[in-house]
Amino acid sequence: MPTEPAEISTSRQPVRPRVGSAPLPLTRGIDHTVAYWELLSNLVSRDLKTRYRGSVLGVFWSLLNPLLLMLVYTVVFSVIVRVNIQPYPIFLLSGLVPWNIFAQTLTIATTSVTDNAGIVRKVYFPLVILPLSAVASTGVHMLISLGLLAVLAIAFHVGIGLSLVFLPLLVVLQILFSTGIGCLLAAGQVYFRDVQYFLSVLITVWFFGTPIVYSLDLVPQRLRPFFEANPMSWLISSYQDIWFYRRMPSFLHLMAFTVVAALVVLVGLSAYDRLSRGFAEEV
Amino acid sequence: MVAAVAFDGVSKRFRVYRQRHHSLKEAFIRRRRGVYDEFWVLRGISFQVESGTTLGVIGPNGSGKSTMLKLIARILHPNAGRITVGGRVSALLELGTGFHPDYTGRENIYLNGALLGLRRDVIRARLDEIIDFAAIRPFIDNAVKTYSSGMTMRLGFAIAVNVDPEILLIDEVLAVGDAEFAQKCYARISQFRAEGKTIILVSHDLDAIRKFSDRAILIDQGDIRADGSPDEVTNRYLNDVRRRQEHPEELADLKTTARWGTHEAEITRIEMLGTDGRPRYAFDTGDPLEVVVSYRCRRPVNDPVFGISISRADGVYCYAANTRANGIRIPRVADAGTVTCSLPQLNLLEGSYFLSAAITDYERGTTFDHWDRRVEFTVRQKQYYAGGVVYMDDHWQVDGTTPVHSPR
Repeated sequence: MPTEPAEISTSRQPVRPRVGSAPLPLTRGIDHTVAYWELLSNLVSRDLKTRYRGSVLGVFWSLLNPLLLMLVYTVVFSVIVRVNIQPYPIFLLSGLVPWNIFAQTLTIATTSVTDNAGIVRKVYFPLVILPLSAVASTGVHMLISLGLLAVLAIAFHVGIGLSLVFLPLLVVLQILFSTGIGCLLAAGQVYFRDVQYFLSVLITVWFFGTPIVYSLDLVPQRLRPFFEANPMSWLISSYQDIWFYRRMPSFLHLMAFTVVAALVVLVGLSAYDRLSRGFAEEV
Repeated sequence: MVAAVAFDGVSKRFRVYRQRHHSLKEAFIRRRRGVYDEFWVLRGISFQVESGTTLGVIGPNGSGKSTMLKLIARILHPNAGRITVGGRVSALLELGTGFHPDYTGRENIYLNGALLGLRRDVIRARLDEIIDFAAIRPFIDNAVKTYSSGMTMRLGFAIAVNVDPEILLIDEVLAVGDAEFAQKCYARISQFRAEGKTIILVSHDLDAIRKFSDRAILIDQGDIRADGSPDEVTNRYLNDVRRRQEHPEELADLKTTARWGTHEAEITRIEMLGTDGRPRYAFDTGDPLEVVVSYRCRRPVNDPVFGISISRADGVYCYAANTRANGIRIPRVADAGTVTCSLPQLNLLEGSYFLSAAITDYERGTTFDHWDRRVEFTVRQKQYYAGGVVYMDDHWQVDGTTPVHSPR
């Protein structure tokens, strides 16, 4: 027997009037995810299979991309501009790898609903699966690139420290954070098609506003507060702590990012849940 | 009695955008996301479907039938009212939706099954059954983009009926496909009925409604106009359409009509006339009729082509004819006039149809005016001749001799 969300046998509330005792959207989202787990894994494998179909190097692009970027930034920042961080490639990659995954997740999640307009209009399924599958398929890339990072860390004699026990926690927090933002962007994209263009600008600005190619110490003191207020700074500097400096991430950064990620995912999922009722008509 | 599906004062509103602001800038400046008309597809309808019965739903195009199914399937959400659904729903709304063209048939079975909420092990157990039902075994490992539309549809149907639903929603999907597969679908539906499943069947095929439904409802302009036995309701529907011949002006309201062209020459009126020369919108198979297209043009137009076409209400394109194909060349038309197409025998079988007319340019094919689905009409068979779309004047021989016809 196919599994179905428990909601199906109970009566459905009309959109309006909204009564106070509506079920908590987050728990409903999770319920759906479990029931449609297989759909999620199907969509992820579809995404992974089709993304590199017809390309010669296939999935290696997800490794090649950060490697080439690493080469470019290393030349620019340790040969030309001479940022005094050694070895620069490992410093760079420890922030660049998670950032790339973050940016890629948001980009794919944004168009996840509009790209699947055909099924959204014609088939009932928990729509939250669409942005979740974007998060999951880039998550696969993240695992591959983190493996690469570990190999390079050893090759550059930075080594792998005990601090890496924090890695799973950082990955989970990043997934929560990007799920929340991804859901908001995906829902926004249904109603306003220029969300995706806005996003590409935002990602560029955000990238240079986050200490990835430079370290926070290099930021002039008077500008520091702006950089310190950026949640991605907290996450990226934690990644740099555990990979490059081989030390415990800052407790303050970790706590602050946990709170922000939890808030963002709650707001994102519940807003998505509410807005998704109109997707079939609007998409 | 247990209600499998219950609607309680359900209303659904659609926005039809005349001008849509998809960009933030415009939305911000104008303070809203476009210029739109709102209309109610369903206006506070209430009905219940008893568990284990089959409900037939009929009505003209745009009456809200498909919206109703999408509400039951939870693809759409009502603006007011309450919908109760007691059971697992499988919707055959558009077969093959969600197929990935680059995937093989087999991969798509898993993907589509998952979309319908089937677990992988369940799909694996039913894989052979699905492939055999769709009759595509030799092609199952080819990409779906190489499939014919018929094969895609068969595969879609085969997966959807294997969801093992408690409530099955069927929207007009049986109208397409070859006869053999249609028979298989009908057999499968009969089997579902025998198993005590609840079925909601939307169709323009009144025969199918009469044959399969325990009860039928007629929806028109968002309201339930009739609710009762399939015979009563289908007759009521045919009468409704018939009655419009007395009030042809009502036809102007048809939402399904569409019109385009340069308007160098314009169609001012399309009429269907019976033998008595009076407008008629209901015929029996075999009736003679004339289609009169009135035109007007501000400036003289050279070399126009006049054409008409007929499609069945479910979209099946039945017939098209024009003056050029008939070897007629009209050098020039000016001011206003009429063009008449006589059909000595209307060979369409029972159903509800739309008549369209167009004026185009002989050489370039430019459309001056195309008035799509301008007139709706129905055809009834006085007695049963045949099933399908057209009457073919069939003659039979049994063992080489023509049998004596017994009166029916």
